[in-house]
Order: sequence, then structure tokens, then C-alpha cells
Amino acid sequence: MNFIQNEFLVFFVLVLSLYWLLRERRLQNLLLMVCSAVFYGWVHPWFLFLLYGSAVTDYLVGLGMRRFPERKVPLLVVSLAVNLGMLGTFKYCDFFIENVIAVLELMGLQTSLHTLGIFLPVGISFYTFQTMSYTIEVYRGRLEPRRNFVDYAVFVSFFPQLVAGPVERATNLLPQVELPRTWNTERFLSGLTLALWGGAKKVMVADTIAPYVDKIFLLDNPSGPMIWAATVGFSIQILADFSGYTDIARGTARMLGFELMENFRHPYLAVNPSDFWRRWHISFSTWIRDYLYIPLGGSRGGFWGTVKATFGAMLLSGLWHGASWTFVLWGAYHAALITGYRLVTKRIPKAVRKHPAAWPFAVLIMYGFTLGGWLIFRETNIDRLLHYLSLSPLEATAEQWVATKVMLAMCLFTSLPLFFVLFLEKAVAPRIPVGWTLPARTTAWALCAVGMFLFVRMHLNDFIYFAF
Amino acid sequence: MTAPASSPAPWSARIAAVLGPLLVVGGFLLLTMGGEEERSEDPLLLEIEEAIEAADPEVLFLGSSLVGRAVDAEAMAGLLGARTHVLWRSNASTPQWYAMLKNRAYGTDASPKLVVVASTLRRMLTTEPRGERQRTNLLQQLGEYEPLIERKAFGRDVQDSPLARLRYRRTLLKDRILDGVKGLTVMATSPTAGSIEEGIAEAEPILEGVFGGENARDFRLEARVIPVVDSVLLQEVEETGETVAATENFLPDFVELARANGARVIFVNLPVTADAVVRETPSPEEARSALRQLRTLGAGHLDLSDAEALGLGPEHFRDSTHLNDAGQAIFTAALGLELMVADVLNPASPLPMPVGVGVEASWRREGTVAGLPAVEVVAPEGAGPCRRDLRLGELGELSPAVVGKLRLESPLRVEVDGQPLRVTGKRAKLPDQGCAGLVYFKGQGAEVSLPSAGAGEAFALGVAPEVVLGEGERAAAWLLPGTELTLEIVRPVADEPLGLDLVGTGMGPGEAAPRVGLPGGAERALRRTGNRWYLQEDLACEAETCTVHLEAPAGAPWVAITDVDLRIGDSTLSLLGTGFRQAFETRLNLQGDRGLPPTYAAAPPSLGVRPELEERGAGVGHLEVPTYAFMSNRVIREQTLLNNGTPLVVLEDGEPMALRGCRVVRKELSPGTFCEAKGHVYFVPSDGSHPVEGGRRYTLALREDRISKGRWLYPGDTLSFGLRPNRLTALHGSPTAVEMSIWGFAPVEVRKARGKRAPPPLRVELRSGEAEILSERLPLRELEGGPLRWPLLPGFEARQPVTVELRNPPDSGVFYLVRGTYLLEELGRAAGLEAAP
Repeated sequence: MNFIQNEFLVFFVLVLSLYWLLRERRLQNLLLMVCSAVFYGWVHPWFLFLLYGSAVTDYLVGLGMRRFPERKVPLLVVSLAVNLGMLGTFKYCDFFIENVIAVLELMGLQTSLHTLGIFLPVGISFYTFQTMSYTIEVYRGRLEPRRNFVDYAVFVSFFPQLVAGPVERATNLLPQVELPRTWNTERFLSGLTLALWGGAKKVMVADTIAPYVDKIFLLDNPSGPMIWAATVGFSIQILADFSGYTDIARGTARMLGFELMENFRHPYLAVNPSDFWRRWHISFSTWIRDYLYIPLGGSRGGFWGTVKATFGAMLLSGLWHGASWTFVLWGAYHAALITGYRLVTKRIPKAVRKHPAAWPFAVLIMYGFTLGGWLIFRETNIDRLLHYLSLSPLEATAEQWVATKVMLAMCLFTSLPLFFVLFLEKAVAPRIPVGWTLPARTTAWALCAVGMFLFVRMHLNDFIYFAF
Repeated sequence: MTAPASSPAPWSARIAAVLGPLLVVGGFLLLTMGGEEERSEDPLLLEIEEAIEAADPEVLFLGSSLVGRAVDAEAMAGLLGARTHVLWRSNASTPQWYAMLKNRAYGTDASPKLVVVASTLRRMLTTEPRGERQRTNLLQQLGEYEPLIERKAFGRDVQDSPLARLRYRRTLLKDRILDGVKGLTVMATSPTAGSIEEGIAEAEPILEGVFGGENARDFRLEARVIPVVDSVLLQEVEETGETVAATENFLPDFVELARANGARVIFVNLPVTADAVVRETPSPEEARSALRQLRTLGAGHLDLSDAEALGLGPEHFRDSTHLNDAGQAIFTAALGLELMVADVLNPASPLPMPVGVGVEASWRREGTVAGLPAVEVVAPEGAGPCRRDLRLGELGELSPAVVGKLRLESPLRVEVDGQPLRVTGKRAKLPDQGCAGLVYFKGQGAEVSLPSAGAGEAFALGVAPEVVLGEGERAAAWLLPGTELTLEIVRPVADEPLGLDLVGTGMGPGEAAPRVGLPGGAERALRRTGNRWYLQEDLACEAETCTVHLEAPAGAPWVAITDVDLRIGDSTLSLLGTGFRQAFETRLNLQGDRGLPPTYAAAPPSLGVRPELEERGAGVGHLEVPTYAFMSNRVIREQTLLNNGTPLVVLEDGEPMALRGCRVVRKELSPGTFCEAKGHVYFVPSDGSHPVEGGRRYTLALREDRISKGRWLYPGDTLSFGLRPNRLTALHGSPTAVEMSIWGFAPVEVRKARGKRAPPPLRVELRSGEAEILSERLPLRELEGGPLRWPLLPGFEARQPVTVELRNPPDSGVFYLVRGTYLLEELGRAAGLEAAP
């Protein structure tokens, strides 16, 4: 089920009503578990085998670790093997076969190998990482393994964040599942506001700019300026799409009494590559930091050790996004940015770095680098990507310049709601007089609803991160 | 979006909490409902209606962007000699075309004599708008009550639903906003657009090319995902579209509506690229059904969907369905020609109707082949126990090895006990041991590997059971001695007289003429010229199924019928091969011999006019030459990718500058180039100097090479070309005709001049050696009706070179474009063969 389908609206209203009618925590959790299964298995029920396969494995591994503390390592290996095995099979198998075939052909060998055409079940990258975090935390002794399967299953399959995150930590979500939730009007209204704003971002921003971006990336021979303008459009699309999903997830969860992790913090206001990753897909980047970067040595191994850990973490982070060399390249690009920034930043005097006037320049420069990454991310064909990178960003025919300007104008226009809300958040919200939150909210709801009704398209795009 | 913590709200805040959203929703409703603005006040509709009123068309083309890109109204008007207007909207569905005809064209009292509905056949038969954009575009064109469209397009009462109306107006508002952003952008950045509307108008063709088709989506990111919303599935459904039963489509409604307003309707199928053909073509059953429906309705139909036949390649398309400028010029000329030939503006002339769609022909053979001789079997020495040689005797001419040189497939088989042996193409395949039962034909004999080792098999000759053998252009229906062939023709509607032309090649020893049994009981003998056997007969058949019997007596030759044409009314459908006419016609291009290339007697004449030079924009020179507007690319429409039609050239200090298209912004001209736009010539000096004060000399002249898609003949020019004798060997005998395709271009006053003031005629002379074969004077007015053809008398000397000379008098004022000159040798009806026994 998709957040932007009418079915979801009906589903959520029913779940919400029943949920708050039940009041009893265990019944509420049972309801959430069943409804999460319905939500995930709505289109393809067989997806549930994978979801619960992963969940049951980690549940049993967790219990096993408590019972057999001396066998924690093999049990951890079992958990990693099952989860990574599932990921490897459903996400990377064909990619692996394609590359084996390519290498064999390069060596002049003929092979009867062929890809299996395996489809990627939605959300598999998210929930496997989430269950792995549970097992790793149990292994590290930071979390007690849970006996109550229903509570645990709600943690794994909690429908608001199931298919595209945030990648929740067991230490954050599980305790909330286990505690009673009480009705809180303020929290409910705040959640509703957040969910509506998430929907508005998806419909008004992401899906409005998406056809323009798609059209340029589908052209046989676009010019450099057109491609870069489309990349600007994509940067807006992916932010609005993914943060829109996260806001809906966090908003609906909040209406159910849960507080999910923050996933975005104005990423395009980042001033350097490290800052970007502290603002973009935070739940995932902190997962990578805690379970990959630091175990790989983090910044403890001197410069080269840090470089090794950075590249290791970012390459795998890129590969997590999709089975394609362009995603690996995207990870490598960001690793190179982080490393390059570490080298450069030492040579810039602190007075300059910290000067208030440097901030806009730093933001602009970082945004420019981010765009480079998005171009690599967006173009799935490596030959075309190399072709785009070889194009001059200033060379185009008069007609192509017109298209470029219109693309940029559409970028500006579609991002207006984002700027407007940023302005509201920073400048208006703190000044709202006591007691005037309600009219501000109801007006915001009306604006979001009208905006969505105005810009909704007949065939809505899936959320981009469903693909990962 | 976060909000500060709430606290008990004062009453004023509670009221504001209700008023705020009410204001937002109310404002939105005001914007969308706009005080129930009448659709007739919609600026877009007004613009469409004003355009129709201004054009007051006699011929109205109707459709989506496909026809908008395919037909140049101005050029079409020139060809048809009638006011022409193309009424199109992008992303328009069939019901929208109908609504536009009903509400925009007939709503403005336009009274076209002819309505041409042009699109692909599949789109014509589709009734439901695809995607939100098409739906909105359709709703925009609807009148107050449209029961027909509601029923056929939506299957329900859409227009009266308040939600549908709101959604419709919502989409209009959204489009206005997005178009406004685009228009504002172009207005702010373009020096020529003075308003948002002008900005939109200027940017529309460009943006349509880049961003056209709102629903196009890049699924590559989702390629390996099962989407939660099955969008791929949705997309497939959307792209597949649904065609409906003949009775449910809009074809009869177009005809009825036009007829009620005194107009006739022709449906034209537009060409698409090869990769779009499958998508844009309905099933044969649907096509037949539609054709039957059109015939019943009395509407015209022109099938111009074969891009290749029109000379349209991928370079003539902007995308898989839309033509570019060059493609548009070609298609407009082709369609215009078809319409002119059909005399469609004459109410008394029948409307064109393609033949072939829905016509099916099948062959059947009965009887036993006579004259199959017993084959002589020889065991060659030292060839091993498996090998035998067969002598085919007088049927050697039918050995596959012999007939194959004509690219025909022989019906002859070598059989053992009634079972044909497999034929191998290589002698090496015949085993010396372990006999495999293969036959290898060599020349007029055969080598056989015995089917079983050591057995004394009895070989016999047999024939393939299939009537038609071979593929494509070289397929042949074999009429064999002692057998009877039945050709059964089934057509969708039996309303046109039929005729049958067929030609075949006779082989083998027989001489007796095969006989033909025609519908109605008439009998004829096949006629013969050399080894060719042919038939040209009308078929007295008024039924949907017509049967022709061809009977070959035992003494008849083996006839490979290679070309069969079915004449349906004035049209011809080729049932087999490339057609009867091609089979009997040899065509030599007189302009194509590089050994005798076209030559001119003198240098190009001076233009005689010295246009004033001025600067038009920074660094851009301008010459205004209204006198030569008639030689503009836009008029000539002969430009190809390599050549431009116009013979005009700007000389920079005597050196010709390169010609560029003038359709883009002039400032895009690169140094050293010029462009011309119907009476205006713009150029940019090659060295960046000032075009007027830079010290360089710019003059307008005529191209010296005179090459376009043909050859130019300027006033005072004498053009010679021809063929050397070795190029005449393709002729069987003496050529029978000369065909020339010449276009004359002149200012209006010259074209219209009659009597003594008429321009002196073009002189054409054709010589064979020194002998004058043809001498003609061609007045300008005779060059406007397509290719000219003159019959030639016998006596042509094929050993002499053929030369053609064209002389354009210096005072003619006419610029001729000689597109093609052909020497023809025609057999059959045109050459009087019908008089043969």
C-alpha cells in the first residue's frame, strides 16, 4: 500500500480509530502487527514470508544469545548470513551474474549464465538493516533480547516506516512499543500536520517536477546545461520525495503515539560533506556510522585508516541504494568528497571557516558538489553518465537554452513550498502568540490539502526510495 | 513542518482556526470556479476560434499534434488552391477532435467543403482520452451538453458531476500556473517575447519537443522493483489504449456532423517511424472493420501510413510519431498530391478509398501435374555406393539450381516412393557412405545420395504441394501443366469494379496457352510475349468473393506467376510481386549517368537587383529582397539534409557563405553563415567585422552549382545531360516514353501573366545520337500538374548516346527545377500489347 493511495487513507483512518478505541497496549500492538502485515502484503502477500523470515530469525537469534551467551558470535553470523543472504539474493544476485558474464565475455569466454530477473521486494533494505541493528545491539549487550514476539514484530514491521524508513534503532523504537501509549491531542495534531506536509511535499513538489526531470533524462542527446538543470530538478525531487515519505511516516506514527527518528535536517544547507551526511537520511547514515564506519576503524587509524573506513562505509552505502555501479560510484564520490574536505579544511584558517560571510559560499559550493552526486545517482547507465559528464555545462543551442531556463524556473517554482515552510519554521513559528497554534495549523492543513488537490496527477509516482 | 506547543486557545483563535481554512478553500474555489466563467470566454478557445474565423477554411485538417506536425497549412493551401486550416491541439484524443469540429469549427460558422481527419488508424478508433491531460483537454472543448461524447468517451455522465467539473477546472488552473511559469521565464529572458502569452507561444514548440507528453516517465530507477502502486502496469494499460468496436468509435459521428454542415470527410492515416508501427496499427480485423464502416458511410480514406513509401526516414521525424520540418514538407506534398489527384474539392468526384485493406487472396491447386518424365539415373564411376546422378532432361530448366538464378523457388522435387528427398545446397553434404537420402541440384541435373545404402530405389520427379513458393518480391504462384489454379479473392465491400492483371514467366518444354476462367463464365487464354505470359481482364464480379480459374493443359509450360495486380475501381492492389506495371516497365534515369553529367552552357546570370545592406541586430547583416521571395526555401520546400532548395547565396567578397536555417533565432547564426526567410536574408560576417561598415563586400547571387533535389535552370540557362550507350542495355527494345518532373518558380505577376505577356516556354529536346527524338515547348502553366510524359515512336537507336537539352529563355523570368528525367520502356497495356493474340 502506498501513502498516497486512497486505500491507505481509508486503511489508516480505520486503524487509527480502532487503535485508540482499544486503549490496551497489548491489543494495540496486536492490531499494529496485523495491520502492518496487511499494509505490506496488500499487493504481493508473498512479501510477508521475507519480512517475517528476517524478523523470526533475528528474534530467535536474540533469544539464543541470551540462552547461549558463549555462542553469540556464531549466532550473530547466522543473523547476518540470513539477512545479508536475503539482500544478496533479491537485490544483488542479478547484478552479480551480470558482472560475472561481463568479465567472462571480456576474457573472451562464452557462458550460458543468464540473469534470473528477480524483483526487489519493497523495503527489504530497510527492514533487514533494522532487524540487524536489533541483533547487533543484543550482541553488544546494549539491548536485552525480547521474549514478546508481538512487540518485537511491531518493531520490525511497524507500517508507517516499514518500506522506506527511517531505519529505526531497536533502542529507540522497541521501548516505545513496550510502553503504554496515551492519547495526546497536541501530539496527534502535530502528527497530522507533519503527515499532511509530507503528502504535500510529495504531490506538490516531487511529483510536479518529476515529469520534467524524467523527460530530460529520457532525451537522446540533451545538452550539458539541460542535464545540469534536470539534476537541480532531481535534487529537489528526491529531497521532497524522500523527506515527504519520512514526514508522512513520522506524522502517522506520531498520531499512533510513536516518535520516530528525524531523517532530514535541511540537507542542502550543509556546509561540507560531513555536514551533509549529518542532515541527509540521518537514520541510515548513523546506522552506517555505528555499524560499519566505526567497526572499520573510524577516525582512529590515522589519515589512511580514516580514508579506508570512509571509503569502505560509503561504497557499501552506495551499494545499499541499488545494484548498480553508478550507486557504487556515487558512494565513492561522497567518500572522495569527505576525504577531500578533510584535506582541504586543514589548510583554511579557522577564522575564515567560521566567518559568518563564508556560510552562503560554503552552502553553495556544497550544493554544487551534491548535484554532482545526484547526477551520478540519477543516471543508471554508466555510458550515458560519462557522456553527460563530458558535456560542457555552458554549451547549448538557443532552443536548448530555452528548455534549460524553463527547467530551472520549474525547479524554482516547485521548491517555493519548501522555502516557504523553511521561512515559517525559522521566522514565523517562534513568533506565533500563545494559543494561536490551532489556527496556524488548520490553515496549514487547508493549504496542504488544496495544494495536493491542485497538483495531484492521475498516475502518481512511487516514492523513489521504494526502489532501494 | 513543526508547530509550537499549543495552549488553551482564545475564542478569537478558535474562530480563526475555522476562518483560516475556509478562506484558503474559498480562495481556491474562487480561482477554479472563477464565477462560473463560460468556456466560450476561455482565452485559448477564443484564440482557436479567431484563428478559424481568420482562415475561413475550405479545407479543414483536424486532429492532434500528429497532424499539427504533419501538415503545413500554407503549403497545402498552395497545392490545393483552397484556403486551408489545421485545427489541432497537442494531447488531443479522438472525442476532442470531434468536439473541436463541432464546437470550434462549426461553432464559429466555418463552412469547410472538406474535413480531413488525420491520425494513425489506431488513434482514430480509440474513444477514451488517455491520461489526465487528454481528459482535461477534452473537457475544455466540450459544449454545455455532449451526450455523444459522454457516452462514447466516458461511458457516463461526466460533465454534470460537480466533482468532475471541479477537477477539470483544477487541472486548468494548474496548467495555467505551470504555463505561466514557463511563459514568464521566456518573457524575462527573450528579447522578442513581450508578454507571458508571447513567451508561452515562443517557447511552446521547443518545450513540446523537450517536455511534451506529460505522462512520459522514466522507469529505469524502478526497473527491478515491484512497485506498491503497480505503475508499470498502469503505464502499459495506458500505452496499449483500447480500441473499440466499429459501431462505437467516432468515425460515423465525424461523417454525420460534417455532412450535416455540407462537408465531406476524408480520413488520412499518418506515417510513424518503424518502431511505432505496431503500437499505432490496429489488428487486421479492426482495420477491415473500420474500412467497411467508412465505405458504408461514404467517407474517403487515404492510407499514407507507410513512411518508407513516402520517402520518409528516421531523419524526418522528431520522435516516433511527429514529423520534423523536412518530414512535414515531404508529407504535405504527398498528401496534397493525393488530394489533388482525387479532385476532392469537386463534390462530384468520388472520395479516395484505399484498396487492399481487408482484401484477401488465396490460391488453390487441383489436378495432377502432367509431363513429369521418368528420370534417367546414372551411377557415376568411383562415386561410392550412395551416389547417383539424375538427368532432368527437358525439365532441366526447372532445376532449382537454374530457376534459383532468377531468385525463384522451383516447385520441382526428387522423390522416392512418393516422399521428397531433402535438398542440400552443398555437394559436400552428400555422403559417400552411410547414405542419407539427400539431393543436390547442379545446373540442369541432380546428384542424389541414396536414401538407404545399397537399395535400388526408384526415383521420380514430383512437385511441391504449395502453390506459392518463395518469399517477398520473388514469390511466385506456379501454374503447372495438367493442373488448375483457383485464385479466390475476398473483399470487405463489393462496391467497386474489379480487374485482374497478372504476368508470369514460362519454363519447360510446353507451348500450349493456359486458359483462364473468369467470373461470369467468360474464358480467355493467357497472352504471350517472349517467355512472358500475361493477362489483363476486367472481372465481372459483384459478390464479395470472386474466383478466377487458371487451367494449364498438359502441353502448357510451367508458368511462374510472379506479379498479380488486382484493380479495384481506379486503384491497384498488388497481390503478388512488385506489380504488373513494374514487371513490364523499365525506367532509366537520364540525369543519373556520371559519364554524361549535367552541364550548363554559361555562368549563372546576375540577379540584377542590388539590395540595400543594413545591420539588423548586433553583428547581423540584413538584405531585404522581396523580389526573390518566390525562391525561398519556404516556397520551394526542396531542402534536404545536404542541400537547400533556394538557389540564393550571399557572397562575402565573392566567396559564397554557408546557408543555415532561419527558423531559429537569428542571433544563433555562426560567423560566415547566412539564412534566408522569404524575402529577407540575414548573415554574419566570417571575421566578426561589422556587416555594413566592416569593409567587406556582401552581394546576393545565384548558386553556381545549381544543385538542389534536382537541378536548377536559371533564366538564360541551357542544361544538357544524358546517357551513354552502355547504360541503355537495360532496355529490351526501344524506349516507349519520356517522363520529366519539372517545377517552375516565378514571381506572382509572371505566373499569372497570360497571352503575349506570358513567359516564353521552356524548350526540351531529346536526341539519340544526332537524331532528334523529341522537341517540346513547355509553357509555365503546364508544369504545375505533376510529371509530364511523352510517348516515343519506335526507331530509337540504342547504340547511340541519348542527350537531353533544356533551354530557358533569358527573358522568361522563370526559375525551373528539373527534378527527374526518365526514359521508359513500357510493355503491356500502355504499349498496345492488348492487341496481341
